[in-house]
Amino acid sequence: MGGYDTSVQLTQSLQSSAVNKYGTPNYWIRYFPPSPAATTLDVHPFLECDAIWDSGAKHLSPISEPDQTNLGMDSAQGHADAQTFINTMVNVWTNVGPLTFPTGGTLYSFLGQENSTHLSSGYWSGWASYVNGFVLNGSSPFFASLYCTPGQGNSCTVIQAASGASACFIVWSAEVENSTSCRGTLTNPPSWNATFCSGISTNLWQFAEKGACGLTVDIDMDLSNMNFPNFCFYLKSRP
Amino acid sequence: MEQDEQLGEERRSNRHIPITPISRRAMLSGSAGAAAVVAIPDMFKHATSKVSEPKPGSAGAFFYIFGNQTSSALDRAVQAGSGSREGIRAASPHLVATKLAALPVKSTDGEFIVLVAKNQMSSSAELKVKVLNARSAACIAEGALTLERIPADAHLLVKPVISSDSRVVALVLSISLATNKTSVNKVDALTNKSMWIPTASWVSHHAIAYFWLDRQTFTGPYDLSDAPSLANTTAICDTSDLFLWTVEELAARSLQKGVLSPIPRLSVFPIGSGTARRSIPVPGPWPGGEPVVKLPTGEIARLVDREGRMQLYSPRTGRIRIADVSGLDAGSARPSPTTIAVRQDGRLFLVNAGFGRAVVVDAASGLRTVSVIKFPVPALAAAPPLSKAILASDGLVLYVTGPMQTGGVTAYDVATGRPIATRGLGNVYAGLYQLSSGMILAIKNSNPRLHFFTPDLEPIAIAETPLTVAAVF
Repeated sequence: MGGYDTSVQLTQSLQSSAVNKYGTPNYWIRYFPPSPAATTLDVHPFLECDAIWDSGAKHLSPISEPDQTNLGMDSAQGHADAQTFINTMVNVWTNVGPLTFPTGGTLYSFLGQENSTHLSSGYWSGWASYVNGFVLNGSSPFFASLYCTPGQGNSCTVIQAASGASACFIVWSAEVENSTSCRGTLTNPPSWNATFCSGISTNLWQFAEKGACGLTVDIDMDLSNMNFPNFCFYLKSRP
Repeated sequence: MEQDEQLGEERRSNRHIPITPISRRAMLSGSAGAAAVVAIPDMFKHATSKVSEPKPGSAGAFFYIFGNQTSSALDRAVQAGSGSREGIRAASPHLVATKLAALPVKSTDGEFIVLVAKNQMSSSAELKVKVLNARSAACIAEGALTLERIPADAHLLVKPVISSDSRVVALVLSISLATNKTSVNKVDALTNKSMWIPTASWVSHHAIAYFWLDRQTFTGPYDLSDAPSLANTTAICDTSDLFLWTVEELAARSLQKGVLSPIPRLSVFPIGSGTARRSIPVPGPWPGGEPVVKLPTGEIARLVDREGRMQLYSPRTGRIRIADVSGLDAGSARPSPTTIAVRQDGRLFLVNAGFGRAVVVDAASGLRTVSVIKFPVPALAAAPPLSKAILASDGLVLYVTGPMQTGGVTAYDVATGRPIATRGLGNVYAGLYQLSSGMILAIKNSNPRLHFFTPDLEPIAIAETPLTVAAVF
């Protein structure tokens, strides 16, 4: 299965262009605050959820990418950024009527770590323990996960050392930065070749940067036996 | 919670290791070796009391590197180095502080650097502020503030903001306390593994303290009694007021479909006071990392999206208006922040490296875009250091780090938008700064990380630092 991610507002124009050029997605991965380097979904939640629905996908996966300098700071900053992330997700959920949490109770919620950004163990601990421990109406649906480039920098070291309250559940592996990488589409994807951290599963792979090819989406695939949409927000109907 | 402050550790002397100037050929090939730089862990408490006066004939100004090392010994550390041509060649940066609680802050006029450290104890916390003369790295003011009734497991976030006349440093404190501690059973639906993890209801509120540079004393802290709020804030000072954006915590309410969204508030505090003289709702993004600057017109500008939309607040009238800067509408699939700087000539300089765009704006004529310069998207566009493009002080030349395929630094003629010189090909630079001496500093992500150029992009020297550089001041 596959989907798209983008840091721009998901418009009808963008979703239809992506569908026509690269195929119908099963999910969209969109940015939530604090993500100062992106246009976040909470700005136009209804329009974006309409576009998700109209693209043929019914699932939304959340990522937050705070100011990357923050990721080198301490647990208090990680806690604060996670608090904003969770609150904006809850805000979108309360406002968009048909948007529901996954029935299995597991919503993988990503922290965005760009290649070469330093991630401190204190920051991760503060971020992940807030995400993992947040209780919403009696359940704890948020599962801390990391978007990173395994093998680059210290991301693997940090999340391998984290456990319990600050555990990292899955990794979304970034495409190695290469602006000439236009290979693959959803209808014709490459074979699974994501990088990984030993001991923590890479379940999602950003395999193509279509931003380099004129359309502001990247393309992702999930492990074939995983069914990633089961771990995303679900749209019961068009908002 | 950080309990590992190194404020009390034994102080060791700084050592300066000479750097050998390198040949241009070696520099351009990217293969020149640099002399080893030894950074000795040094304690914030007294590190800068050892004054490093500028040498006669040098420009004197220091530059400051903020970054991390994987080993905790150099977490959130600052090094200082002489930025003059002679100083760059004579000595490598030396360690000034570690375990900072916040990113260093530079005063509007560039004369001062503010460093803040914290130490959390069993039922209280201590904040230490040190203000350096940016030209000499000498400490000109320092003080300590004890915060009572801060449990050891509280999260204490500190945001230092210096007034635009450099009289006072406002410390915006976000204090998050754990209540209703319990544990929750989480079952990962993918693996069916379950685990009990500790959890709590976290409640955050804010306080403000002021550190007065002339008296080296604090006033406050003043509790803002705004719980429950999100811990993240946005803040800036002018000469008379502190402007603070906060937002209520939605998740503290009874959560159900249809709950109204909280709207952020802008509160204006007279400097020295904990009582807002004005507090107004400000629709827009929740505070959390968006750039904010003081315009030459006196207005406070908050960049509310990366395409150049600004929310302008007039301290004089109390009104807010929206303005759009043109030229930053390129978009990118990947995140890429827009940075904004107010130049000495009163113009604004905005860059979005991921868009491959730099824009010069005349703040005095209704935020009119004067120049748009396009360039290939630099390598590592979204990662620190976020400064990928710099505008020369005369406004005539733009320097930009190169794309992943070629690396290097390219200078562009702002008038024509054409490249006029490229150096350092083969070196993938992650950041670029112009030091107050005029020298250009390009940052790599592996040693030797520091590559120095003249304004004409002639190589001067390269040096090592143990820090993964996040920012240069």
